[in-house]
Amino acid sequence: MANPLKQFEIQPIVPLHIGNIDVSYTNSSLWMTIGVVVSIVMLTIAVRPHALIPGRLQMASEMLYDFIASMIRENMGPKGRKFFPLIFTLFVVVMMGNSLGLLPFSFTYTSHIIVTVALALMIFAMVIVLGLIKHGLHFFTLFVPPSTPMWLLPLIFTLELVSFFVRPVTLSVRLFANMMAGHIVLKVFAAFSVSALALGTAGWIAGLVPMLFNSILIGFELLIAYLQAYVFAVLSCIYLKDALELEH
Amino acid sequence: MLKAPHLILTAGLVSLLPASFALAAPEAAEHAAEHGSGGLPQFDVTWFPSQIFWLAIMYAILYVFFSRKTLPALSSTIENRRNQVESDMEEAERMSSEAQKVQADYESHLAATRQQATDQALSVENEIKEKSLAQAAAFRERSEKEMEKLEKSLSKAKSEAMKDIESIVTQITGDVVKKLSNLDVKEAEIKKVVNNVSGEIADKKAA
Repeated sequence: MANPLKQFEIQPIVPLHIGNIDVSYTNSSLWMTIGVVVSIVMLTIAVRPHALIPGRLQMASEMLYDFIASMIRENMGPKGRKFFPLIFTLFVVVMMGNSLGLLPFSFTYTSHIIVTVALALMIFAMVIVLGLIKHGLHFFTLFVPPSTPMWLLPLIFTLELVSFFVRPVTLSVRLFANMMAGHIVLKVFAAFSVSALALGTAGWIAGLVPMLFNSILIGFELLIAYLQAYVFAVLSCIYLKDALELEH
Repeated sequence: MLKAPHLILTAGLVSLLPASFALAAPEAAEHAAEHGSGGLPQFDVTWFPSQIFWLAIMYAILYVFFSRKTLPALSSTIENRRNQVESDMEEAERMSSEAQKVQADYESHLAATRQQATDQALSVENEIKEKSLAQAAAFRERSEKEMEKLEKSLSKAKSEAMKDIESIVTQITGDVVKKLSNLDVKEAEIKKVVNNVSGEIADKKAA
């Protein structure tokens, strides 16, 4: 049986070094590039008509625009407007990684913890830096909700602090785990089908069962791909909002 | 549209990360070697710097492209549409109010015309009535005059006839008396008798 983890292995394509650091162009980089090219080409074609009455592709791009715009409006308010390109790009990057990964023989860069961690840390660092710039030391009142009784203060402070620093971890692990688990399951079922073929005629029939199941799973994985990109973007909005305004 | 501070921040943060991982790399590489190929490929730190490096580049490309091209184009398209729809709505509202005005004008005009028509019809009717009344009055007057004239000439004819009858009766009576009694009665006397008799007859008739 094929190793279901083999799909996550990174193969260098063009070896590249900057100083001592290995920054080779890998299959992961390739699929990032494909994601970038596909999204740029698709959106450019979609946006080009500039039509008053949009066609299908333009409609889709406008729906994406409205989707992100309303996400930002609802979670960050009018001040979040300046984060629009950032969140839009974030959503597209994650969405592309998740959905391109469903193609056979492709590579899912969002199933790599380092990629999701980098994205999550980017948001996390932005929250801290922007928060400190905007509110100075006042930013740390984020960890002290108002009207906290004095004797509870140490406990609440600790809890708030921990929950704040756990954010990038949960944000990145959620996406990573979802993508990895989904792809492992797909691979395992596919492997069942393939190995069943070795059993002759009966195997051909029996092999259909996991294949059918996989067809359903692919649909499910598409939903997960979208859902996780959405969750990632929404949580980023919510975290960034802390930097914009201190609610408590 | 492009928020340069964000871009710099984003790119800077992401590109800083490889350094931190590079520091951890030697130690982690040993760790990975121990595990061999049995562990998850995701935890193989060999490729961490490369992953972050290329992710940062791709993210930056997308960010710049989206914020410079796609998003302004999309927002201008959507804005244009909203403006168009708004102006269309305004135009429609204006036209509808104009139509209402025209409708009101038409109705008042119609009412005025109807009133005028009624007035005209009434005045024509009155005129006709007056004319016919006048004509009827004139006709009556004329016919009354004629009747009067006729009556006059009739009564004149009657009195003449009566006078004639009297003289005829007097003559016939004189002739009859002369024939029967051979008396020559004076005409004046006969006339007297005849008058008496006719007076008696008239009295009898009256009674």
